[in-house]
Amino acid sequence: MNNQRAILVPEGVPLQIERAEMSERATAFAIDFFITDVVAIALLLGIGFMFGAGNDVTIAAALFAVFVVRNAYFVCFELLWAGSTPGKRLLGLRVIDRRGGPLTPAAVVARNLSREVETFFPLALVLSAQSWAVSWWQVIPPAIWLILTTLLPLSNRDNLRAGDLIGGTMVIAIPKKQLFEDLARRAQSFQFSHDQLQHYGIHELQVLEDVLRGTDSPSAKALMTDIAARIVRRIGWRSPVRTEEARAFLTDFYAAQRSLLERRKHLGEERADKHYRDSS
Amino acid sequence: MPATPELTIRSVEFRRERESSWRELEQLIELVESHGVSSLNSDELERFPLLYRSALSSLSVARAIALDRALVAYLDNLAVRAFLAMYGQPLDPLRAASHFIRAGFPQAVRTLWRHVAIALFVFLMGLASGFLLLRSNEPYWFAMLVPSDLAGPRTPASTAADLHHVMVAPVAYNLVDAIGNALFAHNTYVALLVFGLGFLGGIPTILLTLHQGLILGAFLELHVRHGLGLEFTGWVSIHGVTEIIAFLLFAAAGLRLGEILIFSKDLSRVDAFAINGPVVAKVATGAGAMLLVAAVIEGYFRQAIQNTDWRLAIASATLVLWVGYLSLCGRRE
Repeated sequence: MNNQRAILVPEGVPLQIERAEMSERATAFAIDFFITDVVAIALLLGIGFMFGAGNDVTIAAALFAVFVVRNAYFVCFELLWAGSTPGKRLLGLRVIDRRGGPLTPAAVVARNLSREVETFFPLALVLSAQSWAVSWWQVIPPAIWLILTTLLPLSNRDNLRAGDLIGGTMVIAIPKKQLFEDLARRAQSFQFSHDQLQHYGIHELQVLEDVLRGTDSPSAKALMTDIAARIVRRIGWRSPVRTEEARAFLTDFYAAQRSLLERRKHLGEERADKHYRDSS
Repeated sequence: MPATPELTIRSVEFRRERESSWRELEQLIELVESHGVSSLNSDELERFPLLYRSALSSLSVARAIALDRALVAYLDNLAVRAFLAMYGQPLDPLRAASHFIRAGFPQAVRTLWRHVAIALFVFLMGLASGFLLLRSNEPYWFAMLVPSDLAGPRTPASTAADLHHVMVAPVAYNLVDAIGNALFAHNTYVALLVFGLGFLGGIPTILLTLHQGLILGAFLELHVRHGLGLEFTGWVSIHGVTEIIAFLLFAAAGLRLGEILIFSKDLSRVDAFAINGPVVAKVATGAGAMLLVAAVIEGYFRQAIQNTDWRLAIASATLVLWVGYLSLCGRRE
């Protein structure tokens, strides 16, 4: 799959991880940004009371407060929660070291402070252009910078933004997966001969697994009946399989087929799919 | 061929033997995920790494023998979660910060000493060139080198009194102002630029560093001509030493970024950044903190201390402190 990556953990085993989608990351960021905004606005009100609203000192202090709140929030959470913030936690995202090592404070600080340089600073420049830009074209460089850094995550396969690039990090999704019941672990009511199991390979086996793990909706039932009929024809089963029996038939066939293919695999013959004869 | 008499499936046997340990690990992970490592008792703490390693070995075996895709997917997921729970230990931000100040930052700066040297060389070249160019034709080169918004009231047409006035003008400053000043100051902008433009291969970084040197050289010549060289040096260097060192560190970090981008040798760029990026980030982070220190000095001490001798003394002290700190701290770790 396209969003799967392998990292090598210190024990030397490659693990499959799932890259977080841009939409998930944007949502998580929106949540975190909302939280920091609430804190920052409370702070700003306090600062406004202290120095009086509207003067330059207040604006400078306010901007600095927002800067501190935002970065302290992200850095502290990602350190204390090992690569997670409230927003990321809600969406099941984690920041990890791209090479499978531990997440270091340097990486966390780097990826978060980079956000200032890559987004907020140029954004502030563009938004406050009329107060500093002498002519209109001076807005173009920060605007281009902003566009480039925003597009950067779309240009690499791990959706890395500049901060991830420098920090050596990436954001992954960790959906909890359940251990499903083993389909091959039940009494066999259909017995298949050795010859009848020579027709399919691993690919077909796993497609069958997906179907069997699916729901029991009428359309799924129809699909199973259809698949059963095809298998019956292909392996030369003695009698057609009735609709009520289709699931049981397929489950038994799956178990028998898996048993054979696993033994074959153990002996060094990996049958990728039903065309394995042609290729060997 | 007889029908398969009884179905013994290797992966089913395998799962039957090991499933309870996976379930146990899963429970421990849930505990760690929701309440942290401290919620495990000593028994569980001892079990956890063992279960983690056995899950890794289960995964390897399952990949080799099992054709049950759901099983392999589950084990993969379990191993990733266990790995994150094992190695994703919470870090204390305060301890991390203190370690960064004690060792991390100076160490990172020392690994980039070549880049710092290049940045310093370029900056000094700019300084000397700016000075010498103004010697030859002051009004022309001043207009060429110094942006008008930076020059303010100081131009080749200014009298010595005008120039002197800028340096001793009493400005009411406070801490918040000083920080606000730093945020919007031209120099902060240039420092971030010199770092960020490293992503364009380092050439803009070199040019900007040279330009900063030229500007300073031009100002220096302007004041020297009016016999205010020492006063100007004191006025600039009391915070300028800190600020220029920070600027050079940003430039060095930018140069390193450019180097990684262009010369990543046999690594892919993404990998090269992963390996070398944190050092660059450490230098830039520390340099950012130095800019804040410089802003406080500029806003507070420069106004409080009007005496040039004292300004120069403080500037020398900061120079010794920064160089000593950056070259010596954290050597033993």
